[in-house]
Formats: sequence, structure tokens, C-alpha cells
Amino acid sequence: MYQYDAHDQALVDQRVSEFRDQVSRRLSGALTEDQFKPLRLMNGLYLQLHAYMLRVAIPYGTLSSHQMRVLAHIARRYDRGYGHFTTRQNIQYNWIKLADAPDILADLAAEQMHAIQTSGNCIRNVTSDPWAGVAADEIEDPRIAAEILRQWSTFHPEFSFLPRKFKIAITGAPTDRAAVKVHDIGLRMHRDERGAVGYEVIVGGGLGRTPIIGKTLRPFLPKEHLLSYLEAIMRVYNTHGRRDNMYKARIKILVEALGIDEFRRQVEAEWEPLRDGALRLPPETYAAITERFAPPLYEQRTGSVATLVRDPETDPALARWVQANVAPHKVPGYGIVNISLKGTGQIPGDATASQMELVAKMADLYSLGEIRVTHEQNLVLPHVRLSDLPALWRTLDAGDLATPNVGLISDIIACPGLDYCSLANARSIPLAQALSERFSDMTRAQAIGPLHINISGCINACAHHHVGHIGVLGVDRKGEELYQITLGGRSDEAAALGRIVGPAVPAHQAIEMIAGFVDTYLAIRHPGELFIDTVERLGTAPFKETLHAAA
Amino acid sequence: MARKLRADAPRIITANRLIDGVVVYRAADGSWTTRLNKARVVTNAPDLDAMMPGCMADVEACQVVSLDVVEVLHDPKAGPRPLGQRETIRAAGPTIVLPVDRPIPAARPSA
Amino acid sequence: MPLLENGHHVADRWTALPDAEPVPDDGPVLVSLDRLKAEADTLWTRSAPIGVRLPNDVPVSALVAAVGGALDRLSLIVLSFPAFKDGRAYTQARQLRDTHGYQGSLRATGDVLRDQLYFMARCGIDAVEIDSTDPEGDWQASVTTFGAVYQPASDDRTPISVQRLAALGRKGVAA
Repeated sequence: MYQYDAHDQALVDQRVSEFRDQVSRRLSGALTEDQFKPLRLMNGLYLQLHAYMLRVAIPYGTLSSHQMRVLAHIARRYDRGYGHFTTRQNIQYNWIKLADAPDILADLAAEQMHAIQTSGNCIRNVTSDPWAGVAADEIEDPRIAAEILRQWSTFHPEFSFLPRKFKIAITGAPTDRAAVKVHDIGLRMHRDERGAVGYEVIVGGGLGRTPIIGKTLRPFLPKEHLLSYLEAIMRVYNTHGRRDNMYKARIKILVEALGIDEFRRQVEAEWEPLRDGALRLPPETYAAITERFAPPLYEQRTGSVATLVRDPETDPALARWVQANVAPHKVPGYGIVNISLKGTGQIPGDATASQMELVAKMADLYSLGEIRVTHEQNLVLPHVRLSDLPALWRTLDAGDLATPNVGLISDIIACPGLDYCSLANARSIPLAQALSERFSDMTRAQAIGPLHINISGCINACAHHHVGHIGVLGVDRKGEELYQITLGGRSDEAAALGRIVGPAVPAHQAIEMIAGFVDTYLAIRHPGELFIDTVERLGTAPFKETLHAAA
Repeated sequence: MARKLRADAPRIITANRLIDGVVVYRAADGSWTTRLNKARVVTNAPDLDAMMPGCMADVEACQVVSLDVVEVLHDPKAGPRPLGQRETIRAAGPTIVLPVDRPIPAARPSA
Repeated sequence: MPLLENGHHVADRWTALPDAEPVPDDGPVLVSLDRLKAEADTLWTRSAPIGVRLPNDVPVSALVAAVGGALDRLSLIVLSFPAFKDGRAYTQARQLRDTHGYQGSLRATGDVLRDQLYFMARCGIDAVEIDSTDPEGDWQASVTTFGAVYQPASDDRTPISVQRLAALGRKGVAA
């Protein structure tokens, strides 16, 4: 994986010094809160309900075991012994003191980490496929371009005061595990007829108050033009994105207002003088970054995840975990191990410092020291020998990290909600916990099959509820917490927005509604048909009947 | 201070401490307390207005941020209690059991 | 308000001219874009330098058109930052410098904060009006915050990616 060189290291060290100075100017009164707020946000520091919250970047969701140990150290030393992995492949700490923030950034910088641009109206942490580099269906490791984008966007002088935040996601595989169609810019890798790799550029997707599926701006952009083309998009957005109303300031609103064809015309006009300029990426630049993502040295091995599951000698509990949590690796004899942070009754995405250290140790023993964070708020050990799975599973199990539910109904995505967040209208975590208790039977969960529930505590949609197969939005109606349910959303290559079913209801009723939807699905599905496909085939009508029956 | 408040509703002034973000309430003696039941409750606009300059001065002096006036339930014996989920959570902390960082036992040996 | 040019605190030699006021015969004058368009003929006959205020919601192309494509007839373009978080003028600066090759002075006015000077300098802004007791110190502290840059911009700094390739090339020659 990518290791900092002296240049990268110097920049994060200088950032720590800059922020230390800014914090001391704030504490001394030289900066007002209005002046300081955008500066702290550009270092991922929010003021939440009870304390400051620090969001640490995990670029494209990749980190080393050493870095995971630093995250554990920060949880223990500066927070309350745990952290929260987010839908943006980052980690957040909930109980941070402003006065400690510079020291925390210094500890992060010592292990090649930072909180740069994890908030604020700038280009945010670039997200990607958590299985990048190891997925069997991948064209090319998307982290190479993601790292090029990270460098280009870091302290970008022109785009640090945009109308609103800006999120870029990239996938290198036809199966989209990075939700690229619901980002400000989504990049999908394709090959042209000569076999050259380039990107489909999708623009104007996003969730929040106005959910929109992104539109294709350019079906195929040769690699060398990646930065110049994106700079042209950013330039049009920075110039024309709305600044009079923060709810209408995202690029999706501009694209809708202009229409994709006019937006494209403006981007192309802006791109013309840029395309062959200093931003053109020569093959050597790609090669230099590619080298930093060189695949590890795998052993010559055989076997696949499927054969292991079918083997009658395999412990049934292990087989169930392998079936749910281990994905095929591009190299024979290896598997991609997904670690669920969604144990029954647990807080989705939370991990204690001890759990982080256990994962770091497992990464060293079994995954060549590498770990990933997924936008589903789980962790991944990307390079595990199939023969190591039993030992790994037993150790993870001892740490409550072997729940066999990845991608299943209890693998619930939830934002921190009103328990922590100053923007939230309703709590998310208690509902997620109650649902995971309700669906704690893993045999039944596997029988139900892949089903994503996403719970957001407000319209900002941090838990991506619009693209949950079952989406839940918490609202506040005259002081009462209610939950609005949608069906049929998805964030993959066939991205779609969920449709509202029924009125917003209190939490206990929401649980009954969801249980009813699952029963309905089980009764009407075709053999082997996924929940989302049943909703797509029949619409929401049969599920609405469930509501009437329940009423 | 976005919400419109009834003129005679019992109210308190709250903020977050600048240095660590902790929730604080304005007490009768002009200090900031972390305990809601020690907050000074006012039931008329002149009293509230009279509290403001001191609070603003503490904002200027970098003691507190996010100054807000919120309505409370007022029980003259027990003191003010929070009104609504948000203020309840601000006063009492998250409603969930927070994760506890415990040492992890060694794996059970293989069967 | 203190004026910095290339990091030096200087007296403002420009006369900022309200639209209603007559144009003096000599001395550098700063006029609005509307006036520049309306009185182009008389303004260009003066021998003294002309500067223009460019609002941040006016496309750079409109200014280019107003000077008949010859931006270097202008000696000063004043950009506007009505609020520090309104970053439109960064793009205007880069378009003026990079797309149109403007060589004169680019001055930032409005809500200019010390922590933004780094970004402004990289976008080709060489002068700022900044409310500060130590403007030169602020400029120096901000523009030297980062020792290297990742991306090309409108200054003459060599991006890290280019430095890396050059280092590889040197190694290649040595090998």
C-alpha cells in the first residue's frame, strides 16, 4: 500500500503546525468562532452535542496495522476507548477536547495519517471500493487514481472555499461497491476498444435533502486527462454553484438547473485550455504511483472460498461465517475477510480500542498488515490465506468480531443520530440496535439473503437511507421521534432511490413494519430472488398491503 | 436561538465550553455549570435580557460558544428539567450504553 | 486598510474612483467594470495606468471582452471576497492568470483572512488589502505554511509529482 515519502510527510507535519497555531489563536481570542470554524472543519473537527468530534481521514478506506494501532491509541488516550467507522470510510471520535486536537493530529501524522479536508466546503476524502486491488472482478486497482486525486485535491488553492462540500468516489470494477452514482463526481473504470483503461465520469449524484442519481458527463475519459477534466468540472461548479442557499449549493442542483448537456458544454469549454497543460498525467506519473500499490507477494496456493464452505469437514459455524463474510480473492488460495462491526445489539460501526488492536494483530498475522474500511461501516482483511481462516475466525470471535452477517439484514448502516450529532432530528442507534436484536437469528438472516437497512437521523442522510433496500429516516414531529420508511433504494451499478411507504411512525412500529416487509418478501419472492429484486419486480404495492394488514 | 419562545415560558441559557465542548448552563451567580438543575431559570424577557451581556462577554472572552436560549420544564423544588429529546440528551448524555474498552480474551482453542 | 504588494506593506498609489466622479488627468485610477465599458475611449487615451474592479459574479470573459482581448492594457484587477467562504474569485484569478495570461497586479479585497493568503498567492493574487496589525508577518507566515505543493497552480512552484519524476530521472541516469 501507499507509503508516504518525505514530501507527503512534510505536508502533514506542516499541517499540524498550522493547526496548532490556529487553535492557540482561537483560545487566545485572536480568532473568533466564525473565523475559526471553517479552519477547524478543514481539519475534521466539529462541535457536536456533548463535545468536539474529530473525523480522521482513511484515504480510500485503506490502512495499515500500524495505523490501526494509532487509531486505537487515540481512542484510549484522548477519547473514551472507542471510535466510530463511518459511511465515508473514515473514523470519528466523539469525545474530543479542542485543546487536545493538535496533539492528536501530531500522533496521526507520525503514522502517515491526518484529518485534512474531512469536513468543510472543499474536496473531501476520496472513497473507493473496499476490495480494491483484490477483487476478482476488477479492471485495475482504483486506489492508484484515488491517490492521484488525493494529492491533487489536498490544499487545492482554487477549490478550498467551494459553494458546498464535494465528494468523489471511484470504482475499478463493474460491480460498484463504492456507490459512485450518488457522489458529486463518480468515476467508473472501463476499457475502450483498444483495451486502454479510462473513466466514465458521472456527475451530480448525491443524497441529503435532494437525492439525485448522478448522470454520465463523459462515457470515457482517457487516464491522462483525469485531473484536467476534474479541474474543469470544479471550475464550473466554483463559479456557478449557488451560494445564496446552502441547501441548494451542491453540484447536483447546478447540474439539474443547467441540464446535463449545458453543464457538459461549459465543462468542455473550460477544459479546452486545460487539457494539454500542466495537469496532464504522463504515464510515468501513473507508473510511479502504481508502483506504490504493487500487489504483495502471494504464495502459490490453491482452493477457493466456495470449496471451503462445501467441505463437510468444516465446522458449521465457521462455514456460516465464511459464507457470509469471506469473499473471493483474485488470487487462488486467498479470501477477502469482512469483519462485521454489527454484532447483535452493537452500535453500527463502533469498535473499541482493544478491538482495533485485535484487528491490527490479525492483519499482521494473516493479512500482510493491511486493513480496509467499508462504506457499510465494516472492516476488511484483504489478503487472508484460506488455510488461516479457522484460526482467524476463532480469534475474531473472542473479540465479538465474527458475527456472520455481512450484507445481511442485521448489517445495518446507521449514522450517530441524535445521541451525538447536533444536526440530527432523531436517534438512529437505538433503532439499529433493536432491529439487530429482532433479526439476531443468523440462520434466518442467511435465509432472507442480502438486504441492506440504512438508518439516518436527519435529512442529511449520512447513513444513505435513500439507497437502502429498506431506508429509514428519523424525523422530529412536534417533539416526537418518528421514522419514515422507504423501499427499493440501492447504491450499486443499478443505483435507485427508495420510495416512501406509509406515514412516519414511532420506532416500535417501524420495527414491526420492517419485520412485516421481510415476511411479505419471503412469501412472494421467486426462488433465489433477492429482496431488492422482488421490490423491483413488484413495486411497493404488495408491501403496502402488509401495512394495511398490520393496521 | 432559532425557536420562537413564549414570553413567559421558563427558559435557561446554555452553551458549550470552548476548550472541550462540554455542555454548560448559566447559573444564578453568573458562572457556568455542567448541571442543568443548577441553571438559572427566567420567566420574563427583562430577566433574560439582563443575563445576556454577561454571557456575551464570556463568548468574547473565549470561554463558551454556541450560546442558546432553551425552554425548560420548571419544577420549583427540583429545578429545571429538559424539554424535548435533544435537550434531554444534551443534559444527560447519549441514551445508549456506550462501548466499554475491555481486554479481549484469547481465542478458544480449536475443536 | 493595510495594502500588501508581494508581501510588502505599501501605500496605495491607486485612486479608487466612484462612478460619478470625473476621471483625473493623471495618476493611476481604479474604476468599475461598467465605467470601463462605458468610457473606454476616454480612459484608454490617458497615459496613466488603469485598474478595474471585477465583481465575483461577473465572468472573466466579460472583462476580456470589455478590453478587446487585451488584458494587459490593465495594470490592476481588483477581485472581491465579500465573505471569506465565498471562493469564486480564486477561479477568476486563475482564469485571468492561466487562461488569459494577465500579467498585471491582482488584488484581493473584502473579507480577507490571514489563513487564506496561502491559497490566494497560489492563485496568482499578488496584492491584498488585509485588516491586520502585522500584515507583512501574516503574509510571510501564510505563504510559507507548506514547503511543497501537490498541484500546479498560477504560481511558479513545482508540484511534488514533477519533483518525483525528476528525482527518478536522475536516479535512472546514475544507474
